[in-house]
Amino acid sequence: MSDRDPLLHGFGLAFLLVILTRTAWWSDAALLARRSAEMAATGGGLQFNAAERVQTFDHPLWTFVLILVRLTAGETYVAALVVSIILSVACLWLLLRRTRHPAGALFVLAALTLSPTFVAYSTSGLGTPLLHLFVIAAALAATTAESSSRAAARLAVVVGLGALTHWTFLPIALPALFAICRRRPAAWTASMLLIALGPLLVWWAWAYWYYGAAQPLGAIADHAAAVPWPERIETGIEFVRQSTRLDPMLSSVIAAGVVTGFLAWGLDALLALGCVLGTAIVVINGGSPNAGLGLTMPYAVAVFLVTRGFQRVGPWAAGASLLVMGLLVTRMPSPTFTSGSEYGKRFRPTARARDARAEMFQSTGLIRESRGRRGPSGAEATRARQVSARGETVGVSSRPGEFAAVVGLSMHVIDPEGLTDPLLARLPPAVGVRRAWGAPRRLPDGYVASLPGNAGKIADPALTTLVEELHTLTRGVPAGVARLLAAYHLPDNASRLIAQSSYGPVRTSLAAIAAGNERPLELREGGVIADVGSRRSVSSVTAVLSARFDYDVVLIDRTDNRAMVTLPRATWSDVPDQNRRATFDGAVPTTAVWFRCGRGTGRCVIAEIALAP
Amino acid sequence: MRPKAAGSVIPRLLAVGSLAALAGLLGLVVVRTAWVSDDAFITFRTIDNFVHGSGLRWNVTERVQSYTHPLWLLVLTPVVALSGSAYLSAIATSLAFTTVTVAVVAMALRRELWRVGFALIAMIVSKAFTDYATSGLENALSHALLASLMLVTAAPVNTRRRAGLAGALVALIGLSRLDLLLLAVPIAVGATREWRRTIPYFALGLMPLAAWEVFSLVYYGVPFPNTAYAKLATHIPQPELLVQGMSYLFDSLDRDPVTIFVVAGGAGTALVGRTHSRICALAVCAYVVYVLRIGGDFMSGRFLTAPFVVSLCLLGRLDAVTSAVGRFTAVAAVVAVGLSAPRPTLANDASYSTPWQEIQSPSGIVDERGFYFQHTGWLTTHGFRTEPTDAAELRPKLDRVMAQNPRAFVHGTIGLVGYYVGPSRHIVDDFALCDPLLARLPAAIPWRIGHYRRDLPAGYFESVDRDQNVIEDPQIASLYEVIRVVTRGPLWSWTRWRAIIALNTGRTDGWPVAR
Repeated sequence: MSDRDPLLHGFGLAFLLVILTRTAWWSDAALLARRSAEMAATGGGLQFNAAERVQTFDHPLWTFVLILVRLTAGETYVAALVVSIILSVACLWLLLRRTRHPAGALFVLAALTLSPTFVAYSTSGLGTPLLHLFVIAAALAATTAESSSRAAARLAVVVGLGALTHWTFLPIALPALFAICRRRPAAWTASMLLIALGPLLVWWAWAYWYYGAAQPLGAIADHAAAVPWPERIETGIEFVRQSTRLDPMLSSVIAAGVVTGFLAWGLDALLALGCVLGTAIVVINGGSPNAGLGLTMPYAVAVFLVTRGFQRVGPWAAGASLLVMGLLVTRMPSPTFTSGSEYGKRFRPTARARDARAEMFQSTGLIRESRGRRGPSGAEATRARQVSARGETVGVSSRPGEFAAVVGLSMHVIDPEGLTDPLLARLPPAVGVRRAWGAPRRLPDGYVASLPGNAGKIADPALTTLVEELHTLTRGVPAGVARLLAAYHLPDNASRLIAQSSYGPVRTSLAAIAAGNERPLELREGGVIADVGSRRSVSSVTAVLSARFDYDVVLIDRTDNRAMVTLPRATWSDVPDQNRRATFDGAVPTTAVWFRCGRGTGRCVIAEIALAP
Repeated sequence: MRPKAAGSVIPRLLAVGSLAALAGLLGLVVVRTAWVSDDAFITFRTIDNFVHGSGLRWNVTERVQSYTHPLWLLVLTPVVALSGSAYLSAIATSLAFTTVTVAVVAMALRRELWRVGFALIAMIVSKAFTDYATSGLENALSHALLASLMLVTAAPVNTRRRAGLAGALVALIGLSRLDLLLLAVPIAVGATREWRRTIPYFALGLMPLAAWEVFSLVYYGVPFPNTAYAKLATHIPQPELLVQGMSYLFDSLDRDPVTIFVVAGGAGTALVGRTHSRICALAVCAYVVYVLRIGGDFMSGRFLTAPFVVSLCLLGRLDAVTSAVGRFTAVAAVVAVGLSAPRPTLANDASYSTPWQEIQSPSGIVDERGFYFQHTGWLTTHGFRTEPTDAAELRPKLDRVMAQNPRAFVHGTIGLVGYYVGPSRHIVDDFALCDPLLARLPAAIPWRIGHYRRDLPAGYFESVDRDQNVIEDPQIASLYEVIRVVTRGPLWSWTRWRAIIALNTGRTDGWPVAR
């Protein structure tokens, strides 16, 4: 009936349109992609800085859309947001068309307009609106694909496009695609999987050839932070908790969608499994500094599953859900429909995962308080204007997207978190700030002076060598077997050179610590590696440390720093000047003990390390 | 049967009572927010000159159509002549037309009472509608005419009488504001049937507009108001205007989200539904695109009230029976969006004003009512006014200016100043709204929307002051000479008709200058 209720459709779409336009904004990460798109559209290559090929975006298809927008509209700042809004309105349109009862349609409308997270990432300049559209299209195709080969092929195409937009699309959609393929001939299945996975594989191959790495710099930087999985998952759970605090509708609807899907069984259950996997990937990755980012895809699928559930149960369920939604809206710090141009004016970061829209809105919001100003206008943008006015050629910014959007394409912009710089992305985080996502690096001595192209100015010879190796990958002609070999060997070479450099961990020995020669022991980014002397079998470690640091201890059995046993920080107390002892089962062959710095502040004194055989 | 009848009468009475209460609330909001804009005083000066026998002119020395809304001027003139107060006449006439608008919209939506309620709520919470329900500008008249056209064209226009009526309404809308024809013509044409029979009568209905165009060409020498040349021929690159137009929509979405919500929702409903009104929805879209293209306006929301009224009337044309959920969605959304405005209309009181910082916003778009309300509002903290406070504040300043300039002076915002200076001085409006030469010169950079300042050509002020063409640039001097002949020369001279042709075809170069 709802497809015959133009009132619901017309005013529902208008409601979403109004809310999305009022809340439209650019995230800093999206501005990084925007700069790459601007660079590509103006003939500078698909890269962030003019001098080097680095991948600062993690949503290739969306970046191509940005390039297209730039070429057709002549600008991206407003036009890309308009495209995002159109895509998001299309999401609602698709869902409303398939919803039979008006109460279900109202649920869909409420879910897509009242969730602050979904609304925030329906614009943001990131590829999320495209992902939302693909994930809804995939869910719609999946539910008809069992009986229709054409729908199955459509599903494969959508999965291929979704994966090319962001690889995290795969865990959500692949279970359904696999289930559909299972009952078909092998050749057909192979072709469908090729369609679904091919675009992403081709992109990875191209990125490896062009950038020297298949992953974007953000992922490389995250990998280099070497955050242990337990700590990462803990951060991920905290991310979900913070996201739920800001948007209780998000996790509630995801949970409801998963339960509804599993209860319905069949393809709904596989979509629900996709929701679970999609959420799990986000948690395992440690979430993001942007609350809710990554959860909106499972959310969109969950909305679809819940709406299908209403069709089985009846409209009363939709009514009850709307009631619950109403209650959840009252628990939100800032409901979407009250968000105006003053949004985020009083923003103070209180948690790691925060409301990124509130943080950025007064600088990059489409309709922010400084009316009519185009481009970012926050504090970092003001600083960028000053740096640009001074005629500097290199800019360092902790908000590189905002900074780069102001200074134009000619300035070489880097950020301490390594999102835009190939060297910083591979360095370990600064002392005391190791964390999943966004851990800043100390800039090596002479590094800024060496940019954009004079590696000789870097003080440390090992890092100079590493930068020269990076230059062979990120500069010059991207061809040749030697370059591909260099790309292949880069991770190992980088670890070795960083360990050799003044940037690597402090190296000492148990004997020196026992003799008291190392007090106080100043830490560097890699922590402390204490050589045992000769290879010993160790079953417990006792240390006296004086610092407010979170640590984990790695027992190393080889000189190439390969970890054999990692003792997470949870096994150690955080109280300074106490004996901290970690015992474990079995004897571990050990040549060195590595105290890796985690979160915290202060100076570290290692008074004693004792190993029990 | 009796109990059943009683059962259906009581809810209906309750519904009608609620609608009456909503209408009362709307009246209260409109009266509380009643004001007169500075631009309205441009029209008032022309009316003043006309009433005193100086012709339909702003500066009595030249025939220039400095008002955009001939019909509004013609309606207002007798009221002003009778009452003696342009300020109160404008407010009273606006209130009367707003009442007509509400009544006509209610008639258009009477099929289901909830639709009337929806429209009333939307009008109450729409800042643009309540702001320009008065303002002294033509909006109130345009609303009434557009709503009437929507009512007339709700059924197919297939009789001579209806065709004539539709044509007349289109003509009156065009006379009220020429660019509203973008809305009115498709609405009327889309509803017209049996063309062979109806078109002659439709054309006959258009006669008032044609008559005015003839008068305008004869009297002013040009078919369009001077404001059109001043605001549309600025030589500002189209992309810049488009960006400004987007800013206009964004500004409105921020201050007054419900107006755009209703425009989008009404048009969207007509497009989605299988109604016979898709052409109306497309007309609304085309008009919004036009607003985008011209860069909008500096008065936030002013250009969106016409599509707002049309969109409200479109609700009356829904063929499909709406579900309770659909009705709930529309009403709940309009309330939620309306109340989410930073300064909801219901909360506006006598102390309403706009902070000065906002006037200097980069977009150049302002809450015009907020800017003027404490000066020209009807019900302010000082109670009901009978004339603007500016009149008293301006007097010493004007006396000084008049003492220094016995014949002419240059001024920017010329509404209140022009009106209170009176006919004795020629004012050169460097925003070109009232100046025929400056309106044809490119705007100075940087520009502000609706305020396209022009650099005065060397010798221009002296030319005006001495009533002699002493402009130094020969091309501009020729253009001015043509304009002088058209706006100051004898109406029926052959030279003037040659000048009119030259002016309208842009062939003024080489016109001999009388020094």
